[in-house]
Amino acid sequence: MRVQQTAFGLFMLCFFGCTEIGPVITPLEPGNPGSGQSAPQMVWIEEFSGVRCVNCPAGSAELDQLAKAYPGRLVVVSIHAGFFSNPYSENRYDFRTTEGNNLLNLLGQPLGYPSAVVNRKKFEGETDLQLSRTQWAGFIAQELNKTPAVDLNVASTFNAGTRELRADVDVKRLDNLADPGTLRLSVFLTENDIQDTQLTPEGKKDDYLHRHVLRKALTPFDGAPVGGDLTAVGASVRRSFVFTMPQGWRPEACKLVAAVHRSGDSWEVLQAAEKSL
Amino acid sequence: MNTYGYAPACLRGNIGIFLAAIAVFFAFCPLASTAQEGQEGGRLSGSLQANANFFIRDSLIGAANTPQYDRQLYGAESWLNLQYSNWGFDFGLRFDLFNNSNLLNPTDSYTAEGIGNWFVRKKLDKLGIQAGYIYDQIGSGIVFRAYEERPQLLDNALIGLKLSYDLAPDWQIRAFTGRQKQQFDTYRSVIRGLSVDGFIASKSQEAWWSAAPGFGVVSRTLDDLSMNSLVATLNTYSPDYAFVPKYNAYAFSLFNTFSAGGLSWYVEGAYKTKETVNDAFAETIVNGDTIIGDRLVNKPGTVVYSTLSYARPNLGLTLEVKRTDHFSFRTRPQEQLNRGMLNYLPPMTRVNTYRLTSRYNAAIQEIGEWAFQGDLRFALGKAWRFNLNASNIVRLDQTLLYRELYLDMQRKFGRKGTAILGVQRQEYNQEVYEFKPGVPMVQTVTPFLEWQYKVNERHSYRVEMQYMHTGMDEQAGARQDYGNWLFALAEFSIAPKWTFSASDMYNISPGKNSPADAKGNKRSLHFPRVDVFYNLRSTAFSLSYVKQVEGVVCTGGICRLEPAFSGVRFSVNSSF
Repeated sequence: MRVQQTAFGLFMLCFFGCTEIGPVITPLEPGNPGSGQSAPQMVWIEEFSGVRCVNCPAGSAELDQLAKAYPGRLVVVSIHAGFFSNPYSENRYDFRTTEGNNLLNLLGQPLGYPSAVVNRKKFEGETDLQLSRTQWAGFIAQELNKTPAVDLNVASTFNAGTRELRADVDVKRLDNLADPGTLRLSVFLTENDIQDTQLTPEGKKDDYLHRHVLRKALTPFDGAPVGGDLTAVGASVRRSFVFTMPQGWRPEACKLVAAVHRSGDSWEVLQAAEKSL
Repeated sequence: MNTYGYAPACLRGNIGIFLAAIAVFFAFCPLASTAQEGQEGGRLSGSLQANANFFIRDSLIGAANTPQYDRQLYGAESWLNLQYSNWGFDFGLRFDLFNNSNLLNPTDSYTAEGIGNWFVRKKLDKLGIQAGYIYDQIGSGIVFRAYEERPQLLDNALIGLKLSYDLAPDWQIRAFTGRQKQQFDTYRSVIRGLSVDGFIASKSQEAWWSAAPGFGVVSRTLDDLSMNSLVATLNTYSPDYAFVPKYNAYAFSLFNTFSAGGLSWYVEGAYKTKETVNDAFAETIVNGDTIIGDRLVNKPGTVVYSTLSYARPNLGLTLEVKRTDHFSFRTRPQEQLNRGMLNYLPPMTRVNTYRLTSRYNAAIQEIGEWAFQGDLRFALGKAWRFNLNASNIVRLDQTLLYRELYLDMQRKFGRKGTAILGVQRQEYNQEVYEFKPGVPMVQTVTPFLEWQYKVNERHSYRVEMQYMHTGMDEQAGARQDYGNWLFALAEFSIAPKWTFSASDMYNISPGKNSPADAKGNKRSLHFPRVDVFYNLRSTAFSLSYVKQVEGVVCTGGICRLEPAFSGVRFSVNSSF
């Protein structure tokens, strides 16, 4: 009898404290830069994808949703690399790039697809940089609340006749920047809404619109040193890159995207920017 | 990526602790030179498991494009386990090492080393105390199981404190609290649990029966970081799908084993309170489009599991049934695949050991499944043995997921020869298990034959022949998946030390997913394997040359590539 009483008592004990005060679901105010900030903190998202990845369209849709929630605050690069990126015979394009493969090696292979790296940051409690879809929103929200250490501006000029593209990128030091000497600048060209075959849960879809596809890195894949002297607050540096765009790439659908990031032990992105051509 | 040296401070700390622990360990261990038996009755035991892989790139079979094949060329894993008992205490310590290992993520490389496990255990009269890394389970593990599966680098130990108390000679209560291990770190959510296990038996010798009832409850409290991340995700959901998540989730389990004569009946029912679960097959409507894929849902979970077995000399019958509904219980809902699992849902299919019969496996569907399995074993005289097994798994909406029929017959020829002849029939829902849209149900028929012959006291040999016949994929105009396979193995043993084995798995009729040449013609590839095993007392060495076919394994909405393997493996297993 004593056994049953003890067991019953402990059973009841388990129910104590079952009432909790839950979190408040307060939709974040989209698109508001923090008050008093000279430039909003942008978030750089490298999404790893592939035409054979059946779950990747859902990942892409998720990023679209997030971009709507935080208009103008997210810079997305969709990198086709890894096992799922081998094109089908039906594919008109091969979205794989040398830079994309190198970035996959640099940032680490994901455990599963879709996967994305947010600001190239290893977040507290995570095993690696690659994050699964249900984790993106949380870490993006966290990164958006940071105070920017760098201001980044991208300007572009495109000559339709020669198809020459010139990118001028200005990096300006703000407060709160430690060790500016290790900074690097990555400048990529992405193309949006490319119609081509993609595996989806309903089967292969030939008219699928691929978003934010990495086409070319204008810098080395792991970035070019920012250079110049950023030791003083307010100091700025301009870097320019020239690239001749191949035929078939639609300038009106292309964007120049840029990120200032660390190098070495950490590749954390400090600021990002994008500019349509 | 981990090769870039994540958490070096943590690892340095671990190594420091390890060296200090070793020093303490041996300072207190009055070791005898040979028998590991101390003068004061202490006992030291241990084991070592070590693997070294030498990767040989073979892009034809897909053994390429991972750090190991492209540049590292070598990887290793090792576990050195030590246990020491003295003065009524048990001490345990394990050193884990991973160098360029692909166990954590099959397509990536993981390098780290440190203390993978330590514990101190003491029994004070009726009170048992354990602190450190705890491996334990409640019932069959449906609400809680902390365990280790090294081939998948799955190590769900709880780091914390466990107390047990003997309420009566056959009744024990256990309580634990802690956090789950995450390689050399810990997850932040707090896990606590309690269970009561008992044993009741009839006093009558003529009508003997016994019961082993039990009850368990486990609770998980989400940490603030995980909750903030969850809230941020839910803030992006439309009002139709958004909900207020719970910090605390409770899972309850009631179980009992009833035994009478040759009959044994285990039944367990589990309920989990409403909490955030990732539904990999959720349908979400966004701007009028229906998207199938991961979405967080707020649902309670249930599992009912029962197994009935009857055993008599030369006869064994087992029937199992399990119903699962939204019973994913993890240290945080964001974890995927085999990471952060707090519980274990028993599989309901036969554990196949032949190479081809084990090619297609039914992964547990946490979100929902109905599963049934029956197994019959019987013998006719001393020469004949039979095993018949059937399993059937469907979704809660009755969609067939997996069906298997298996029969084998074993015939002994005197004391020297044994023949095993059998056949397996499988239906495997590749569309669900591997998330491959539009592919047909994979249907296979796999006959197999094994012949063992003992030439004399020292020498014996064994041969296996297997053939997998795969159905047609009418839409693709080719055989399903990789098509038909042929497998042959020859093994020769010189007791007690040596075993030599050679095998080949041949894609005799390539299927839709078999590799193709530049002209698009499917290739019939060989996947050979050669092994040498050497046993020296309690130590086993093996050296293998392996080519192993690749596969994509998807659990729910997350796909994971299990890459082909091409290379040489060396392993050592030792206990002392």
